[in-house]
Amino acid sequence: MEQIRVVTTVFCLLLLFQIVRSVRREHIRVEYSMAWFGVAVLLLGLCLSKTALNWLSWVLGIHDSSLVFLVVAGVLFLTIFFRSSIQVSGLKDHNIVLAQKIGLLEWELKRQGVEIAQLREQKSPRERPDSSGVQ
Amino acid sequence: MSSDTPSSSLLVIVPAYNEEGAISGVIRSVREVLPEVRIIVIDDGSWDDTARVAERGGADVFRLPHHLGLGGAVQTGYRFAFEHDYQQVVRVDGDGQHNPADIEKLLEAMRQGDYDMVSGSRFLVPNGYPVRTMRRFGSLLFSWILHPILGKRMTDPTSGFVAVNRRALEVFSGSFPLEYPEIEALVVLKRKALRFSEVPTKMLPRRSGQSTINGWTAAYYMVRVLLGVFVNVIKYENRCHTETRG
Repeated sequence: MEQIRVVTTVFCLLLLFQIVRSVRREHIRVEYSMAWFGVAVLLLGLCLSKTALNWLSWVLGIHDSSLVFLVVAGVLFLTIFFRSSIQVSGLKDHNIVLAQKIGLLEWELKRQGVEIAQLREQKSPRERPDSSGVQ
Repeated sequence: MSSDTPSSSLLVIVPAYNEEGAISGVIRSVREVLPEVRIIVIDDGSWDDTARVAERGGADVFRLPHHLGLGGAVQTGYRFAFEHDYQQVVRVDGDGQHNPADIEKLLEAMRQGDYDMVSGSRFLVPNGYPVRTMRRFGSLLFSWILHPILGKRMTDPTSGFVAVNRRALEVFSGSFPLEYPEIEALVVLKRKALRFSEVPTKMLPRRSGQSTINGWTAAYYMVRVLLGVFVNVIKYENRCHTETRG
């Protein structure tokens, strides 16, 4: 058990370090890092506190402490992944609307460009006699 | 007449993804049947010359900045039509398998039956275009599953050859399935208490390229569509149009 506690403690510390590093480098936004911070701190707390781990194994009715740790970690990670899926779905919906609007706006811009060019062409023959008069 | 005041209340939309070999033929054949009607090609992020070929063919082209999937492309056309007050929209696929000569049949059925959407069924045509066994099996399976949900039998629920009116446009411009949208669209219409039907239409061989649904994608397609149908059946939302017409 001691060995697995050392390994998981190191893993949690690495996770915390990686989260801080990612936030600092703006690879992950602060609001999205909060859940990972929470998970890393909670798991680290379980690794360091035998009392907390024993209490949790009593609550869950699992006698093997390492199994308790795995169950808690699994549930937390699944929750985060599910939450991420919801966020990704929302972003995809926004992305679709934006892409559609870009497609429509580009066409509208092009159409207006053509209309302006046609108007200029229609206007220029009328202006020509004046310019020829000046010459 | 400017595009803000459409010369006709009918719009033809053609979703296309890498269809440079077929798109000009599709535009030409639609033009032969409906010379005055605006044709819009929605280029769904093609990496070939689809957009340029379509423009040369005389269609208006919406170029999506990246590939959205068939539903996203079709919805772009529906959104445009709804915002520009078109009353009817016909969707013709960019691979050339739909026969534009049948467009009038779709519109006529929609007018006569006061339907909100009419689709073309290849299976109602005797000795029509030969369909692969797997495809036929898939259509039969979907038809069988959808029967109790839709309250009527649709022989070709995967058909993309459809005409919709303004009521359906309003629904689809707000919400339209992204991947493999045809079957889910039927369920969406049913949920909104809109009416739909199908008419026999001829299916032609593809002008170029090949279907994206084959092998493993067919299995994914089946599961994905069934899940989409299930989600649409249980979807929570404020049900509007609760009065069933007709």
